[in-house]
Amino acid sequence: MKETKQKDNIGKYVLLIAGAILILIPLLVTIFSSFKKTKDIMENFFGFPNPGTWDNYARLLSDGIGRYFWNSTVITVLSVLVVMAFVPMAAFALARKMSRSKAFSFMYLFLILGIFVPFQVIMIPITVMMNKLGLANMWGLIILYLTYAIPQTLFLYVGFIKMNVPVSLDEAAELDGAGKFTTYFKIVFPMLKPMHATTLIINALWFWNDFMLPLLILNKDSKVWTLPLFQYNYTGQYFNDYGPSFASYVVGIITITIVYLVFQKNIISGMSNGAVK
Amino acid sequence: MKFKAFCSRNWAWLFLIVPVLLQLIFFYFPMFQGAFYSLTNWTGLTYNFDFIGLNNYRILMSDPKFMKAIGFTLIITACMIVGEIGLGIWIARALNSKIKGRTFFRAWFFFPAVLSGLIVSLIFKQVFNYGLPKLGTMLGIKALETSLLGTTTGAVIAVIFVMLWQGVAMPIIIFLAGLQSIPQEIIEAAHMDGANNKQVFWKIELTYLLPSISMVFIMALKGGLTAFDQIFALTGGGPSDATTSLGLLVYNYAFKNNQYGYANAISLVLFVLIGIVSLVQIRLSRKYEI
Repeated sequence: MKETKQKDNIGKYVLLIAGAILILIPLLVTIFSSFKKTKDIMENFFGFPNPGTWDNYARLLSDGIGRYFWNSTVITVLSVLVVMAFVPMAAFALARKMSRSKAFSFMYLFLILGIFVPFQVIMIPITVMMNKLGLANMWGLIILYLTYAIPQTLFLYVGFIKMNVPVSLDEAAELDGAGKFTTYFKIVFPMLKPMHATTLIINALWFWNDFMLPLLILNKDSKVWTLPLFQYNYTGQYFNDYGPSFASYVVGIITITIVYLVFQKNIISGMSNGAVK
Repeated sequence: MKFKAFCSRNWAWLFLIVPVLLQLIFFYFPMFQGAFYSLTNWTGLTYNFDFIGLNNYRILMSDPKFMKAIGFTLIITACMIVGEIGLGIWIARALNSKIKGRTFFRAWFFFPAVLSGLIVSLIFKQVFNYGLPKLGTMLGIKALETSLLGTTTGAVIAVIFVMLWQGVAMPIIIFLAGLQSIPQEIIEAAHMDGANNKQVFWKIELTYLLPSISMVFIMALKGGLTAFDQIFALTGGGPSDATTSLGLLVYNYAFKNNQYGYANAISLVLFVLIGIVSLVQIRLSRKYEI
C-alpha cells in the first residue's frame, strides 16, 4: 500500500515538473532572445544570450513602445471604470424588479443574450458602422468594450445581488428617508465589493489582452495602436530581425506577471467565477 | 419637484437606460444588419449592393474553402474538448494530492491563462520556425528538421498544441475546485470498503466532477468554434488554408476579398452552430446545477 502511494507520487511529480517546464521554456526563450542579437537568436535559439545586449530594448523605446503601453493602459482603465459605473447599477434595478415585472425580465434577457452570439456575427457591420460614425478610435473602442462586457458582467452582478443583498436592506434605508439613488450608491454599491473584484479582473484582462477589436477599429492609425496591435505589427515589420519583437513580448509579459503576482488569489478565483456562465 | 418625482417613480428604467441603448445600437442593430447583408452581394467598398436571397448560402455549400474551414474547425474543437478535459483532470488530480510545492505549481499552471493569446502564438511561431528545427537536427528527428508550420499536418498539430498550452490552464483550476468539493469522508469510506484508486476515480471523483466537465466542455467547444487570435498570429491560416478556422475565414472573406455579404453568411452559420451549443448548455446546466 505504502509503496504504491510513493510510486503514485513520483508519477505526479514527473507530470507536474514536465508540465511546468513545458510552460517555462517558451517564456524563458522569449526573455533570453530579447537580450540577443538576431544572429545569436538564429544560431543559438535555446541558449543564454551570448553576448547579452540591451540594444533591442533601446530600439523598442525609440520606436515608441511607451506610447502604445500608455494607449493600452488608458483604454483598459477607462473601460473598466465605465463598466463599473453602469453595469452594477442596471443589475441592481433588474435584480429588484424582474421577479415581479414581465417588462424587466424581458430586459434582462435582452441584455444578456450577447453571451450566446459569436463575435463574428457582428464583426463586419460593426467595423463599417464605427468607421461611418467617426468612432474608429480610442473612444469608440471603449464604447464597444462597455457594450460587449455588459452581458456577462450583468449576469454575474444580478446573481450576486439576488443572493447577497436582501430587499429588507432597501426597505430599511427607505424608512430612513433614502431614495433609490441614495440606497444604491451609499449602501448597495459598497456591498458588491467581491463581485467588483471578479468583474474587474475578468474585464481588465480581456481589454488588456484583446487583439481583435483593436485590429478592426484602430489598425489604420499607428498612433492609437494598443500594445497587442503594436506587437503584431512590429513582428511583421521586422520580420528579419527578431530581437526587438521579443523585447516587446517581454514588456507585455512582465506587466501581466507583476499584476498576477500581486493579485494572484483574486485573479484565480475571479476568473474561475467568471467562467461559470 | 416634478423632475424629482419622475426620477423616483422610474428609477429602475433610469438605471437601465445606458446599457439598453448601447446594446441596441452597438449589438442588436449590427446583428440584424449582418443577417440582412448575408442576403446581398455587398462588397463593402461601395454602397451599392443587390439583394440575392439565399444565394450566398447556396454558394457556401459548394465552396471548398468553407468545407475545409468547417473540417479544420471541427478537428480543433474536438481536440480542445478532449485535451482540456483529459489533461485538465489529470493535472488537477496531481495538484490536488499532498505534494510539495503545491501552491507554486497551482499558480504556475494557471499563469498561461492570463497571457494574451496573441503573444503566446507569436512566441511559438518563432519556436516552431527557429527552435524546433535546431532540436530536430540535433536529435536526428527527421520530422522536426524543417519548420512544423511549413507542412499542412505540422501546422494543424502546432495550432492544437499552442491552443492547448494556453487553453488547459483554466480547466485545471475549474477541475481542482471540483475535486476540492468532494467530501473527504466519502473517499476514505470507499477505501475502507476496499475500493482501489481506480474505482474511487471512476465511481466517485468523476461523478462529482460532472458539472465541471460539462462547463469545460462548453468552454472548449465555444473556444474551438470561434478560434481566431492564435491562428491569425501563428499560421495566418496557412499553409494552403489548412489551418483556416471559420472565424478566420469570415475575416479573410470580409477584409481581404471584400466579400462582405458572403462573409456574413458564413458568420451566420457559425451563429447557428453556437446557438445549438448554447441551448444544449442551458439544458445541461439545468440538469446538473439545480
